[in-house]
Amino acid sequence: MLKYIGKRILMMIPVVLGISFIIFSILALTPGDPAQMILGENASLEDIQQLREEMGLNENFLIRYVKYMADAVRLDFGESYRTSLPVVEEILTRLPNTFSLAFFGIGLSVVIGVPIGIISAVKQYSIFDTVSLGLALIMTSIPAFWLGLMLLLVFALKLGWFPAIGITDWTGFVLPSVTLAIGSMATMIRMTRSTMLEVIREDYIRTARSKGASEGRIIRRHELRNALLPIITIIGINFGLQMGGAMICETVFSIPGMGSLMITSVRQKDVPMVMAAVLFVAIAISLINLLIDIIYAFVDPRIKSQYVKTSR
Amino acid sequence: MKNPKVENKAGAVAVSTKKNSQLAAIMKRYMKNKLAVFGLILFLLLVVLAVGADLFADYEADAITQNMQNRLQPPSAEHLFGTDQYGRDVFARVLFGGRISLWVGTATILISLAGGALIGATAGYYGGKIDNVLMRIMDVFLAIPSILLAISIVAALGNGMMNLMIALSVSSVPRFARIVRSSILTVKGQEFIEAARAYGCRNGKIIVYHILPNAIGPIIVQATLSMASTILMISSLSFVGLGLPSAIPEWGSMLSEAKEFMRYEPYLITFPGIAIVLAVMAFNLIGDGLRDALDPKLRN
Repeated sequence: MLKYIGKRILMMIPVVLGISFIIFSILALTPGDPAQMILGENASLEDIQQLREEMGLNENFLIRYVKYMADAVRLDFGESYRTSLPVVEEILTRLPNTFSLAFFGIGLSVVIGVPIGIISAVKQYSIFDTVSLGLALIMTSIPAFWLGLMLLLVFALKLGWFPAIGITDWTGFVLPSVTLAIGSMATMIRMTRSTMLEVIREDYIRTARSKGASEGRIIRRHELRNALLPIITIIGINFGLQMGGAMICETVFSIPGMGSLMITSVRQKDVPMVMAAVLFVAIAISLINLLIDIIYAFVDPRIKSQYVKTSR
Repeated sequence: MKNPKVENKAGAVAVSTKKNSQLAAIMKRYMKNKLAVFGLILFLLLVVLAVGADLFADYEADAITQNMQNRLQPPSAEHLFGTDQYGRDVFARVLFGGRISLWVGTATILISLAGGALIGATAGYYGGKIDNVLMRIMDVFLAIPSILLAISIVAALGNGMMNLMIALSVSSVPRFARIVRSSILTVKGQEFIEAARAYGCRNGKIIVYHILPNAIGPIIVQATLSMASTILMISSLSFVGLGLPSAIPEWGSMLSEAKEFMRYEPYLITFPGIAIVLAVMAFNLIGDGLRDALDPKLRN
């Protein structure tokens, strides 16, 4: 098992390097001189030249990338052009907000979406099935930020049940989480339904039924257990989407997270901040996918047996 | 010299009749799917309203020019969806917004399709090292969530329609590349490719005339589904101010402007939002319908 986990962690390194190289290259295209931006319009040419030298801006692109990554490994991602403070500090205060939003969103969509998918599959072509598929269709087509606005309008501004701005306590998380959950719930319902439908047709289900197992036992022990594996994968894939959704939703609910940080930094051309923010989110997503893969290996006896055998 | 040509012609005719009957069968299967037909109707409606927007409203007078004495009017016979904080007609802006979304979306899909087809075809056809390198690069692009990629590109290039198209295309190129590559791998070994090569076709010609037509089904499905997600992305990015400049009537930027008035003028955020939902839904339904119609095995 350890071998498998080790292998997966090693596989992450080239991916992270690739991501960072692509983002670094894209951001290197940004027009304008950072030294000029930091020093302002009235700075003298010598000052600018000196700062460029200090910042290493006169070096070749590849050398700059290697230096950036060498610093990044030591958790030094540079200073913000705007505040001159290390960008890591600001990111670390904001990342948890975005992360918990995405996490609550996914959690909620699993808790509600998976049971709906199961019932839909078990009662295929029933009214429940039709209605839930219809709902799933509408849910995939709703932009999260618009749904957020509508929920904000009804439940915060009109009914006053939840705060309209910020996250001072747990009530602030309710509306954004629901907003995010609805987007990924559609995929949960559809995936659970289709994998359940596949599993239901398997021979071992007929065997279980013919030996007299009760319907509830068949669903819980034979169908759901096998259908869960693809669902776990979907959770992993969805997490990336959820982080993206959370970043957009933050603007709606005025939550200080990675999304609002990136948007203001992009507007202010604060390149180190954008670079580090994108990198942190991308790495966070890769880590979650790594975790999902490891969980998968524990849950799926086929993968587990492969590695247990070789390690013995 | 005459014989091969005649044979070639006869072969082409035979292929085209077969194609037609296949197309008819696909159409028939598609039309049986009620949701897919609903999607098609929504799509046609969207195209008619967006292309014919000038018939219903005047771009300059209704959607752009500010008209302060008319500001924040609720929906009425004169202003179907009301007016915004600058007195512009929301109905007109929603219509022209549809034109923008369709145009930016289509252009984005075409750019990413061209890029993806080039990369995918090269990788699949030549295989080996080229394939490995190209596809690993695509994998890395796929590992970056499209919103992050788009934000970084907008950060580097700045706002604007062209930059938005580039940003969105870059993030969907890998998906097309993968599809084209896998389609090529499935047809690569077949006899008609050997035949074309024996006949003296050059690699580029074989890819364009013999291989790509066989990959067209999955490509169209992916293009339709990508169109749905691209429309969502256009409006999301414009909503947070990283997409189109706010002067251009676009659904996302309309919502962003309407945000501060939504408490007392809820219609301002209602209609552009519904427009996005319907447009995205149309493409999702068509994409799902086409996928089922093209591959009847998938349906259960």
